[in-house]
Amino acid sequence: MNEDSLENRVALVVDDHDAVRHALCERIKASFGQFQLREAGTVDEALKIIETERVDIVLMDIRLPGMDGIAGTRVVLERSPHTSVIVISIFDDSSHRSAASRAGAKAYVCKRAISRELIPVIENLMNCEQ
Amino acid sequence: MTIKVLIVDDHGVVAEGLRFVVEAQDDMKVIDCVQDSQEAVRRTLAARPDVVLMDHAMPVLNGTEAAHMIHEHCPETRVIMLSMYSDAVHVLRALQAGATGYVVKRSAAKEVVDAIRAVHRGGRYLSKQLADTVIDQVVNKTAAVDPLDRLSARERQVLQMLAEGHAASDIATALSLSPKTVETYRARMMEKLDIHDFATLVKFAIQNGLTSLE
Repeated sequence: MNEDSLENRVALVVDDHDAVRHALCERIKASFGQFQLREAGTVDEALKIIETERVDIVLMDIRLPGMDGIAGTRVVLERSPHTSVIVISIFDDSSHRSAASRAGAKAYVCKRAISRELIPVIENLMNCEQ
Repeated sequence: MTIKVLIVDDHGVVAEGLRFVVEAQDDMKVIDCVQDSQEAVRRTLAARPDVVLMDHAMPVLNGTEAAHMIHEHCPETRVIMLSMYSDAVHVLRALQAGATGYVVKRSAAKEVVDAIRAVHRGGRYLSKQLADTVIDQVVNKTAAVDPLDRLSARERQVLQMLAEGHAASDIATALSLSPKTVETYRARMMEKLDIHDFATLVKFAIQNGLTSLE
């Protein structure tokens, strides 16, 4: 992966628990120091960020107050088709995975598998874009 | 003096986030993160942390019951409950169980450092959004009746495990009871709560925060 191409990449973490957002941001920062990180607690907050700047990756929790993450994925991609959405969820079943996929998510990571899967998934997405 | 903190949460990502925040403080140290509240009780008795950050929604033994056990056997350890519930019944239940702090989970990372320092100094801490709820309760004397008060601690624990889908035989083994005693507890609590079928009993457990849908 070309590190120069990661400069100015923006990742947005959408989760209503600030401790989870914090952990995810720290993990991304540790592996992709060049990424700029943004946080949102709801889909509405995420959309406000997307309206003002280009966001490359969104990590989207499913259970959110207001609009849930599956519907949120659809709306994010309608407004920002170049963005890659990774759905992050405590649910680890095929129905949630296929709902995320149908909504346009590029990947689905169960929260219990974050330590194993999150960084390789992001790396894979970055590689596919080059 | 370094404040020793034990983090108890069955979601690794949440525990990790809290760990980052706590370990960034010069005056605090995380001694362990555990994902099981029964292990949390054992670890507290062994390591005597100054503060325990306890997730309320834990399987098998919920955070309130675990806080009660810690308060009973290790009263010098201060427990801060982390919960998604912000109503007066849950807050008061946690405080009555011996927790000295209550932080709403959504803003746990932002508030947990202040909460740890406050309870370690001997005070209490409530998430700012809860203070009004609890004060209203006291001032208006609208004492919310806690439906769980009708059950004993053991009955609450059996109910939680039943609602989580454990078989009576497994509950018996876990709690060192006979299967017949577990059935007796079930029948007794249904009578106390005036509930006539198992599905309603499970719904009661979820609605009253004994277990969650997660």
